[in-house]
Amino acid sequence: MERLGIVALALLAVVVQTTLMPGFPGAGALMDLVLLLVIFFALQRGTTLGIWMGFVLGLIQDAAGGGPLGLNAVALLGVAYLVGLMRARLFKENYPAQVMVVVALTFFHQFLMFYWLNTVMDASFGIGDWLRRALIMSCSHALVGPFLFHWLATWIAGDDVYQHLIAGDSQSRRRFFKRFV
Amino acid sequence: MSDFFWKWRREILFSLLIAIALGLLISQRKPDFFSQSIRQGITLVMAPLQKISTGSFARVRSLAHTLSTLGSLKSENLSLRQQLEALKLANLRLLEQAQENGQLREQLGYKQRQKWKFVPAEVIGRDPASWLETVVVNRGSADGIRLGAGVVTPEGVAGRVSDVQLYAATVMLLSDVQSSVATAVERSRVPGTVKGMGTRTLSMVHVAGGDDVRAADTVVTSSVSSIFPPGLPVGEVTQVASSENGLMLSVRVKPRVNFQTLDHLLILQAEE
Repeated sequence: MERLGIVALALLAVVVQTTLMPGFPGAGALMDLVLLLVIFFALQRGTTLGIWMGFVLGLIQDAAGGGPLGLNAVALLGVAYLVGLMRARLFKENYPAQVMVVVALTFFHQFLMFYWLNTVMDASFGIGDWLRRALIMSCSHALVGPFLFHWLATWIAGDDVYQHLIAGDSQSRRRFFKRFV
Repeated sequence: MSDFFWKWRREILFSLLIAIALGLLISQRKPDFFSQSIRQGITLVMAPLQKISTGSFARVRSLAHTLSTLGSLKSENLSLRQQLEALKLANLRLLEQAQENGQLREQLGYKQRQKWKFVPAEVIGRDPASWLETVVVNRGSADGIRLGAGVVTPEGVAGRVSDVQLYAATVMLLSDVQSSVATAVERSRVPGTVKGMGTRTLSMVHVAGGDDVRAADTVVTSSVSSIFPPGLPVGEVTQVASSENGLMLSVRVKPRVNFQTLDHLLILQAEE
């Protein structure tokens, strides 16, 4: 049931990203829901799931958005693998840590897009294009990411947040809320 | 041996998938059967979902627009009726002139101009990465769409078909960095190539230093173009600057089409 929920959520993210977001001018450049989803699952559920999600969702995103097939897959795979490398050293539930991780990974993701577009697709984007896009996107990701992660952890993943809030005692709940204050 | 695979399972999986993804990406320069099949398979599943999503969003937007303009609907209706009558008359005159033009060309022994028909298409998806300016439309090879076909809107040139699947096609918009179209300045007939810059401005290149191009000039498709009929509006010149050595002009063009709000397109098909 949970796996089905993750698949449905992932497909919904791709559909929203390729249809609704571009309906609001600038929103497509502002946020990448699929990237946030891959970061979250790679952080919470491990590198293997993150890598698979990055590959499959990247390919779907490429085909559904009309981009070169493999571009998003390569970028998301890179992000998922990097998350896997630093996963053990991260305090995942800490809000500032989440913000830093999301910002750094957004820059890395946008760099991979920039690099592969220039090298394989013969595009001529400059460093400024990369920095501008990465800066705008990382700001919005820093604001939205942790809230999205919190919601996902509570309702979808059912990890320790569930245990703190639902199954835990009052002290556990207090400890949980202290992270956000 | 199995310990080795277990220890390095993530690295092995990552290497395998990254090799496949890179292979697919490199093959996009000249898409092969394998990558086309993957794209086709994904599009077959995703296109209906995207259509539902786009349709629902369009209905909500239309409802909001209707509610906000409820008061002015009567006067707008009257004005549109008047416009329709005027356009009907103009269309009759144009048809008459086109017929006369055809007859004259025939008498002078000119080659008859290519006739075009338009296939209406709906935008169902957009490139989510924002690096590329592409949209996916709900028409494909099953509707007779061919690779490289020109795409327009009532406002002007929008782009060209860059990939075709069975029931969907990818359109590379004029604003994409890899897009280019043969054009001419309508007033002075100065030729040039309009290229996308990945932003809301286009660039007209290959314009010689002494050529007569001014701000506010209209840029239209050239008769050299094989995918667009001549005379279709592309945009207006906003800025003209001379290069350092004065040999070439740097011309900025504001596109007629608003690429952000595209929802319906017309795909050109040459009549046999």
